[in-house]
Amino acid sequence: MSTYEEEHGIQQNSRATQEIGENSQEEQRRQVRSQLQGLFQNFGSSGGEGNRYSDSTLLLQLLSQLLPESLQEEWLQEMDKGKNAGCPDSFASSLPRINKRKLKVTDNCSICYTNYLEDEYPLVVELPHCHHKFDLECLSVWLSRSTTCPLCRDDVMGHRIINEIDTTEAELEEDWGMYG
Amino acid sequence: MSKVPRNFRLLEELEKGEKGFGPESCSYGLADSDDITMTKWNGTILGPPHSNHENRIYSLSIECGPNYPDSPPKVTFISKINLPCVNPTTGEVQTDFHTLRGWKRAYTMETLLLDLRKEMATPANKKLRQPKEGETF
Amino acid sequence: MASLPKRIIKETEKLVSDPVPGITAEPHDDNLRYFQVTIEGPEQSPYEDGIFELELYLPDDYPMEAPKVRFLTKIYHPNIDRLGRICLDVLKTNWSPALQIRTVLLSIQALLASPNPNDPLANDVAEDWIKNEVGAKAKAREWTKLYAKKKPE
Repeated sequence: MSTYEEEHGIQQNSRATQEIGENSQEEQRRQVRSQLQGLFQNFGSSGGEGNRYSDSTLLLQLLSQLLPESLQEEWLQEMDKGKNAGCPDSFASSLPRINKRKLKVTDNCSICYTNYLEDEYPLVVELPHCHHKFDLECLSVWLSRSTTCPLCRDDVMGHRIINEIDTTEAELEEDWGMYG
Repeated sequence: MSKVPRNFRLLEELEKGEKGFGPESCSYGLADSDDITMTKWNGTILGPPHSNHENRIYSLSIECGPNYPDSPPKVTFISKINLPCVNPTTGEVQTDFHTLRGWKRAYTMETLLLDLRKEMATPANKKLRQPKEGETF
Repeated sequence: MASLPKRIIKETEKLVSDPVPGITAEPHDDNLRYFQVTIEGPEQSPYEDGIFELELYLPDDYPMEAPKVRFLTKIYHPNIDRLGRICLDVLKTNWSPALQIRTVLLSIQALLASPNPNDPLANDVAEDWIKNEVGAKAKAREWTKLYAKKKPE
């Protein structure tokens, strides 16, 4: 099965960096830049919500001696885009997985339209609260840029605590299934 | 990568031009904001420093035909200029200008304006005698 | 060119086999992400009896990113500007990957039935709409006659 990125011809930065075999100077420079940008973004998001912007602006000022102006602008724009963007990466991977036996033949993912059971090992997750199901892979891409359920626009981050309880319950249920 | 169709590509360029995200040394916009075909555009180039073009602002007209961006646009200087790649009577940028001749789909109006500006600043061209400022073709 | 995602193929097939009343959408042969679209003006709206042409493009990131849609027929509407660009929340901030070409086109048809001059894209039209709704609607009707294709009887 091809991944979302492959189907859409999108190259992820990290993968692009790994694939560099012959390190020409230009490529090395690009790598350094992307590492710097990564550092910059991590620094930006590790601060408290309130002063996140000013922290990164400060860092940018410090870095400004090393970076061309156009690149600084680009990063600031990226940061603005990121402000109203998605959930942390850990959120999607922490969602409860749906056991294959609980999936109906007609169930399909409303993001990629693929029937879950077409895949021998479907990786399907459920959102807290609204319980809408999606392919983990599709949902992860969406939640990296939004915090809403694709189907009902429920704010998925609004139920984090409930979600943790739900996870335990789901696991318990499965255990019962195994031993029952 | 899929092919962005002409009109959506031109809308992207329009937005970039309107928001002023491009470089300061050139600008471009629709000649007629009612033209739903987005064919005729205006461009300006700020003359490069350390050349006879310094401090001059050149206006150009750009025509993006139905096959843009597969085919390059037609570019004409409105402000008079003396440059080997520009037709001395009509102001039209000759189709053998390297950016037009080697046109790629990824090129934009901005690419073209910036390349023309670079052309003005080449050692061979920067000291060419220029017509009086403000004259038009 | 990267192959077409399965979802786009399925959506295209469904648009043909089970078309939405009053709406057509057909991909161009040379670019299967680029659709030629027509929408009939809703009944009892100033756009009634007109057929409007639009173009729709599914960007590389679709469905994570909304389709791009534009009117090719001139239209007098507070949320559609002179270049045919549409101000509609589902095309911008309210996009969701569970929406589809079909739902987007239905939303545009609904926008024709109920313009929203308080969230304008074409400011002069919106102003006209608020100040003089009867006159604005008459002008919209006039433009429909002038520029839209006539709906066959």
